[in-house]
Amino acid sequence: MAAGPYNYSYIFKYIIIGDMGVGKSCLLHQFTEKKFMADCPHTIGVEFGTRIIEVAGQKIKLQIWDTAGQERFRAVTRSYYRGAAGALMVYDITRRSTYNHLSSWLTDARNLTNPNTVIFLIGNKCDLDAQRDVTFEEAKQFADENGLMFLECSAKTGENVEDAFLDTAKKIYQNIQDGSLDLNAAESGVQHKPATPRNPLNTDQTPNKEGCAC
Amino acid sequence: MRFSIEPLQSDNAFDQWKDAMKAVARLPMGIPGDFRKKVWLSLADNHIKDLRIDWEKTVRFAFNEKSNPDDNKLGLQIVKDLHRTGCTSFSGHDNEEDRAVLKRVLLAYARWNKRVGYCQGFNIIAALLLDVMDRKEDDALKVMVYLIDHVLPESYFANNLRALSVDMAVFRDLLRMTLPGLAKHLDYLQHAAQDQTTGACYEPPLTNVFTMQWFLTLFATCLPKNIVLRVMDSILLEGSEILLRTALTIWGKLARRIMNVPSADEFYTLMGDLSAEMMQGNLFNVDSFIKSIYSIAPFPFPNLIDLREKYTYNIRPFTNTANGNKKQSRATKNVLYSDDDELDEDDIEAISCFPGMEGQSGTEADISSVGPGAFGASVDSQGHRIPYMERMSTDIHALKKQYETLRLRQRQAHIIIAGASVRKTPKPKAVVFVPKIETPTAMNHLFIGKLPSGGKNRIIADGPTIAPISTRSSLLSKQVYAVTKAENRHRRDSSRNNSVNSNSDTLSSAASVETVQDTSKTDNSPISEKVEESSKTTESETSQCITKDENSLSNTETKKDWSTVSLHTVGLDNSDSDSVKSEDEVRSCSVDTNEESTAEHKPTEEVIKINSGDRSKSYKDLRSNQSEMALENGGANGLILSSDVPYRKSKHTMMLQSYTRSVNMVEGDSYVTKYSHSSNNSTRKNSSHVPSTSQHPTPDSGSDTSLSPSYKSKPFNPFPTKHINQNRAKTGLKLGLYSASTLSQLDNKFKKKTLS
Repeated sequence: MAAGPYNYSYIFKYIIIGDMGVGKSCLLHQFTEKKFMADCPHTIGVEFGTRIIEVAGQKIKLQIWDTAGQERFRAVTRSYYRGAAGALMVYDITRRSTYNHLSSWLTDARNLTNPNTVIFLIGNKCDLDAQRDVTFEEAKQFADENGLMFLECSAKTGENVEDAFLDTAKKIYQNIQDGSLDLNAAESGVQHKPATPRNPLNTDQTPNKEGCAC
Repeated sequence: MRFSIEPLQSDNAFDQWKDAMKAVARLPMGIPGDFRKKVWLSLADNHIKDLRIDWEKTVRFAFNEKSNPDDNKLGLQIVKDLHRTGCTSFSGHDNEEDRAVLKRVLLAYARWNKRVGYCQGFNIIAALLLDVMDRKEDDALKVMVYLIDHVLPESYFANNLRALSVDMAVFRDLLRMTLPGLAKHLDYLQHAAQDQTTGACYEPPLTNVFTMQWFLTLFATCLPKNIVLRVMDSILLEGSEILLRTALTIWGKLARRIMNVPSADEFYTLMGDLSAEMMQGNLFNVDSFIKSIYSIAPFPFPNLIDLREKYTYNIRPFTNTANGNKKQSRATKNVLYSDDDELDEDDIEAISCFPGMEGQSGTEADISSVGPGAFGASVDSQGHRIPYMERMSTDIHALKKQYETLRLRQRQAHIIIAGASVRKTPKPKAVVFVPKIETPTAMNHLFIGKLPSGGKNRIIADGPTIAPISTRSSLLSKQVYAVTKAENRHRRDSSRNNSVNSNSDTLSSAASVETVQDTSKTDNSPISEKVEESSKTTESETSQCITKDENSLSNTETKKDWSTVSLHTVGLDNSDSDSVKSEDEVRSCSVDTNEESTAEHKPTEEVIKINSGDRSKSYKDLRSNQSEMALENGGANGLILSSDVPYRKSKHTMMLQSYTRSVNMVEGDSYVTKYSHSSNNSTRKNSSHVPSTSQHPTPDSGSDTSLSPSYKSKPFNPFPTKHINQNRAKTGLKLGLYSASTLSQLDNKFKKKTLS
């Protein structure tokens, strides 16, 4: 297994939240695979994806948690909010109801994450401008009032998708640089990777023989 | 046993047939693919027959082409998911007809069971069923009804997936028992990123993300189809425990590779790769996989019922209480609770004091080494219970730790109370909060009570199903429970019949929590508190409460929510002693040894009356003043457990639970929590031992008999199952997931002590 030095210096934990069918999983897939998945299977519970990006010369691994949008899953997905460094809150610009629910998602995000968590509002499906139901200005105003970063994206065309993930990472990195994010606190959602990984067996009491293949 | 593809027509023919099919299913090759449809249908038919409904009519209704009022919403969700069925033969292909069939089945089920409706994941299950049923819609519906309504636990797919969360928690316990090495490693990974200062853990249990998905889709998204069908056979025949067995089998097979992973992040990355491998079918051999499922433990799975019961009432709904702590200044931060998980772990520690809560002492990491019967033998044997008893008696360390926690929390409560009283503009009646006791030593007497002749320990809990969630009254405060109307009715009935003491007999079989009478030496105003709590009722009601709260929360600002907090905290400066007693059957507040109080709780106008002898005070409109404090006071909610041998004569307070939120909710009706007269008497009797010395309560006749834990016994259940189900049905639950690593840690300590 990869026991050597990590090829990235930070891990940022992200969560993606928003109503059902707004394209959360597609955004993630577009970001990690750079492909649009037309029949992307819906998320059952929680799924995750990773990608290593570079910000200011630092390699950063994004650990992205994609949550199920159906209301009944909210209770079980809540435990993944905690300790997130970034939260991507997604709505569908062609469905106003998904925009109207943002306040509830924002409440959850604010309550369950730490004050330094960067919350990024994403209006997805901006390729479907003809069916637009929520104007850019309106959402921009909502974002400004609540101190959120905001972009309209399209998981289909890939427009702005990179930017949304990267801008979030830049903002988090900036928070680290100016000291407002405490790296020692696990709730920051950021892990600084030392050059050599800690050996888990050091602190563990005698590891189980049968279970250990090393 | 009678081997036939379909059951014959006679009284016990079905059972005989089912037994035969069970035997076939576990053989290599299992039920032949050609017969599968008939077997599943026979099982479903039998269930439908038991329901005594007109199936033809039901089918006509469910597959009605005309739209029902509710259909639109359901239809939208279902249609959205149609092209996203994922791994079955229904996905990918642009087969309009298949999609239409799938949609009709899903809609039919949603119409059949409106409470469950449509849950993401159903499309995968329904697609699988349609596949086996040769695309016959009504047959697929029939099997789906049997599977979801009957085979799988209730609320697996509804009610905020409560039962699913329970099973996820149960699974973690089972993993500890069957694969201790892996479980330990996963716990290590989970806690490696723990917060240094607060000790808070921000990583959810690592298995959750996988078990959640596996259970919801019955492994259709993780195992190759040939194994999924075999697993489905077993699920339909043997019941939902197959889910847990299958998950254990998978983890067991992956264990070797997971043990090498050094961090949680890499664990997830590895699992991503392994999931893909599993799906491709390269990883497992069908027959040996199925064999593992059956050989992992005897049938029925030992302890499973108890564990499920335990977590059903003990799952900690995910609240936002951490929010309140953010408001606290840095100075108080380390004293104050900052994290829910911390509470959870305390909870678990408390639980682990009880017998039967953890796995066998063996270290089998490879499930295959656990032969059939190995598990059950060790658990069932009388000899196995003795170590548990001994461990209980040697568990001074854990109790001390809990005591420390209690003290800490008392300090927190003190700070909060002081803070609240400073911050708030003093209202005439709100003096309530000013604590007379200046030092956190007020609770020191919890353990002083272990004087040989002081009091008597009343053990009420003797089963493994401890669900000790209760609200602890803080120093000079009381918390008045919000209870639902129905429960209240029930409670009043019971309280009429049982005095508190006689109740303990009944309760002795229950997983319940108990106790505390302690008096203050250091202060002129000694305090005795008594909180007695049976877990189930409390849990069920608190959960209901929480759900409502969460719902309201999600749409409003936190600050607003605070104003809805209707927790009452009433301190009495001038009382000599203060005893609060809350119990599942009786909610009460009694002030002073000869005083009784009746708490009246209304959603709109809140009144707390405290009848102090002939005096009577009533505080009105405390809400705005108290609500904030109440919320912050999360840390001061407590949970009290009693344990036996070493402190046979004492009562222990353990653990505080931040269930403030739970107390918030009122079911919309006003209700009164009343002390029945007999209860009052008994309280008085109890309290009379308490004057101002450190003496501890109450000889209790029921106590000694209940000291020996018969952890196999089914826990006391105040409601008939139906009742509970209705409650569950009524309300949703927000679930928090235990990070129960301390359980294993503590157990190790126990083991060492027991051995030495």
